[in-house]
Amino acid sequence: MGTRQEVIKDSLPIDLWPSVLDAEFDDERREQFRAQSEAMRLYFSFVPVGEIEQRTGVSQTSLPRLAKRCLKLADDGRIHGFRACIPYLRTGQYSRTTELPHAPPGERAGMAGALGLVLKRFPDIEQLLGKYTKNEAKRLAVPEHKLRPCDLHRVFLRCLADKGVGPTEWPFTTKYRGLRSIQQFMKETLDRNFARTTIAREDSVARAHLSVGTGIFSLLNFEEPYDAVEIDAYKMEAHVTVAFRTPEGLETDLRLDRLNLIAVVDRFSSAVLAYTVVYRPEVNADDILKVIRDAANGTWAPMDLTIPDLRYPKGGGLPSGVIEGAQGAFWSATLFDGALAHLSSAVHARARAALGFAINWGPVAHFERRPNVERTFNQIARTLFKRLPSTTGASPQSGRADEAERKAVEHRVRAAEVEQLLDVAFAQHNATPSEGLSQLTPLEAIRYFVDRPERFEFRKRPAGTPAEAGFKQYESAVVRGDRKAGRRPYIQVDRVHYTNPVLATSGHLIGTRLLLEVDEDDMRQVRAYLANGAELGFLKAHGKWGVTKHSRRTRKAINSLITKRLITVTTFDDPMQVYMRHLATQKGKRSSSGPRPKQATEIVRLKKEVGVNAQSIQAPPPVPEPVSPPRRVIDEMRGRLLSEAPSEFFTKVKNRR
Amino acid sequence: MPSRTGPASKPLFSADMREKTLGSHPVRGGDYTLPTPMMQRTYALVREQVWARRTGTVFYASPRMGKTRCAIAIRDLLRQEFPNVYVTLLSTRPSPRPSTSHMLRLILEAESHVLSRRPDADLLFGNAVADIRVKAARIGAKQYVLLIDEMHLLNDVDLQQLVCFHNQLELQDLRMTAISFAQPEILHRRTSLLANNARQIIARFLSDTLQFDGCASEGDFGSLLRSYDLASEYPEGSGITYTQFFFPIAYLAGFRLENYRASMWEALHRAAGSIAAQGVPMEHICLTIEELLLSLRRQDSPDFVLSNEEIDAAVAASKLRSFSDVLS
Repeated sequence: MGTRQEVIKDSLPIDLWPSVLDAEFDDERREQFRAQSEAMRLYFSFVPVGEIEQRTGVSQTSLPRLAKRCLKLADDGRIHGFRACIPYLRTGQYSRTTELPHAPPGERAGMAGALGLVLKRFPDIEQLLGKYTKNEAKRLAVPEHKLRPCDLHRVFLRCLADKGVGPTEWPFTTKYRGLRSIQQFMKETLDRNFARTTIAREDSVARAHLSVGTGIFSLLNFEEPYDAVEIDAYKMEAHVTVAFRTPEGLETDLRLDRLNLIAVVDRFSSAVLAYTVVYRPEVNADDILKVIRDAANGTWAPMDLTIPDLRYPKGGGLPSGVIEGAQGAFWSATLFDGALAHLSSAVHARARAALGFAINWGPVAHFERRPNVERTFNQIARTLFKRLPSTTGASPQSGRADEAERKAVEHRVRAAEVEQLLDVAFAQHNATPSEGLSQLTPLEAIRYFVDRPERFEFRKRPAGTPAEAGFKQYESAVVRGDRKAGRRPYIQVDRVHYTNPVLATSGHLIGTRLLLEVDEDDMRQVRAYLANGAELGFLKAHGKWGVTKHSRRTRKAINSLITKRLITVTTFDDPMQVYMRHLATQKGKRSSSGPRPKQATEIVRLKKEVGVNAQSIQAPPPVPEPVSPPRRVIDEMRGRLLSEAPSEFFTKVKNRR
Repeated sequence: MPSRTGPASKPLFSADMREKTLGSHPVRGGDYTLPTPMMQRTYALVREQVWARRTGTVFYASPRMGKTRCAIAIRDLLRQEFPNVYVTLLSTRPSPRPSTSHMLRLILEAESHVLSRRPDADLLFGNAVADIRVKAARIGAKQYVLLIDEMHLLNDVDLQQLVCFHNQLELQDLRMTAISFAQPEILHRRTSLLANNARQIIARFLSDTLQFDGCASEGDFGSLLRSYDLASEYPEGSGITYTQFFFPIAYLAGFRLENYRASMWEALHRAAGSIAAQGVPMEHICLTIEELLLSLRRQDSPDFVLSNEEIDAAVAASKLRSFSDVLS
């Protein structure tokens, strides 16, 4: 440290020093603190030291030392500032200066700072212990997971022995050989490196919690409904069944695979906007697109509840069904679970392009980025799934019902009824006051904005764009056909031929590439375009593939069975029915008859695919946006006509009998 | 046409007389042609083409918009207005396999030619050209108008033959104008021909495509109703309009279908659903009005009014909604 001028020139202005609240100090301490603080203020204002001593009573010889203390860096990264003026405050670590006494093992005899002394003597040991404690991989050894203090102690002793520390020196002279000191050292090291050691040593939940509560506000703020939605998938924590009619005409219950649930939850209001139950062990891109489409275009309507006394809460439901104007509203950002990232290309290319939202893929395993959807799933699990007799609980150790699978069948926990419970549960969720919304319900929170049209407006689909726009899959296919063999032009998608009268007579198109618009929910037909974008109309699937509505997934499932030669599909059979029959006749390995859970789940999925989508058959098909609007007779009439039509010509009804 | 302002005190005929005449009334079987605004507009465009001796136009629309009815009316009107133009209406059917004879057979069948079943394409071609030339010469025509209904059923070979036929007539100094009516699939055929570089076909028959709408607006619908109220007559020469025929007493008291224009249009528009953008199909409009006239005729009285329920029931009887669901 140089002269007073030099020190003051480079130091932080005294007004910015960390301050101290002395309200809780006793009088003597406060007086001493204030004197020292004032002394520092004067010292840094170039008041002569003699005058400082006179005015504050602080000895002029201690002033440079005190100033040095004040400018020392504290643990929090700032200088000590006025904190250094607190009487008896230790600004450095305790460091023993005297030699250790020779005391017989087991006696407590002034060993304070022994470890510090040893580590000062062997700085590399301190470094090594730190690395072990922090679980750093860089120390060129396989890191032990969650190292215990006793293990660190063993490492410590071994290092000391290697350094030649004899049995007459600390810690070998003590009863526990410095174990307590190492425990304390380890605790302090872990606490000092809070975030780092949590990441290295603790589980995923702890790691996820690390990123919240940092005191730094998120850059992404969502202050209105439909600013952002969170989408996540959740595996139902219960076994469910489906009713199965045996060939003898009896009804029995078959257990299904565990089902998945995907939900779209509004970030601001926590309202569930849409959800879907996936009858499949894993969620795929189609399911995500379906739930996005439901949220953007769907209208919620109460289910027909078959469970006696089950009721929807008054005014409860999903916003698209109960809030006027919310139907068809778009959102601006979608917060996805990173675990769904492998489905990103479909969501990017189709849904994002159609609805124009930004996508925020959260980091993997960081559920805290989507608090609402996770909380909603938690709540649904607590209020519904974990209370079913067939619950699987959160894990084998927590909450799993004994013989859950058997109980699902015994108590007939049917999927169809669970879906009803689920719908009511979501309706209740949306109608439950929430502390985060000042005791408003999620629906009321959205209504609050809707009722103020001067401040808030829903973003809707531009007029004229069809509801299905953007959810279509585009791919290209080469036109096949063979003039010599007399095979008319066609294209092939997933092993099935497609053509229409126009393509079938367009031999010149053989070998060219067509662009296909595929609706993966309904593979009976595809829409074809030439490479230059001109439309060729709908191409219809050959044979019975063009009759029964089926999704691409079903087609692929059937195709894979054909490949395995498990079933034979002739052009005279309806492939869907063959597949259903195949699934239904599969016998389980156990004594009970009927399909196994996997097949039962697949049957239910198929049925829902045909049944649920039966409604969408009636929905108007997407009308392609024409490049230029078609010319119409009525418009042509506005132009100038060259000839003059005779007046009073054809103004009377003509009888034709 | 009866005078609307005349001080008629009693209806021109009784209910019994009406029931006797009903069997032959055009409304019972839909045997009448309405001068719809759409038809008038289309005719104005067609007569412009004929007058200026242009090559032709394609009108396309979904089924039941009144295309065929319009084609028939246009044929009759053209014959009436242009006595020295030879006009034929040709109704197509698809050929099971590409055949150079098919188009020529259709032309000859339209002319009721006795030798239309001949197998030899060259002979058929010669016959068709000769037949048209003779018939045109008979009325001193220099122009031949071919009205083609359901043109989308023709394939590339048929259209190619039509081009040859057209060229041959031109060479023989007979100008051909082809006015076609088709379903929207014709646009796909056009795309395919464009890709195939078959520009000679497009240039002659498919270059000008116009969308043909059903009843597009409430105003048009009003003028349809006016036709029933005022501009129709049965029995011929009696001066009795269709509305008057079914509701003589109410008509006398001022009842007109046109007074219910708004409520009827609203019901039809609602039932048409998604296809309303192309206009409400004429077929269903006529069925609705005929249903009203026929089903309520016995309720004829001086204070007769049409209730919304009756209008809805008539729209439902026209099956417009199920038709719209099928199309959408």
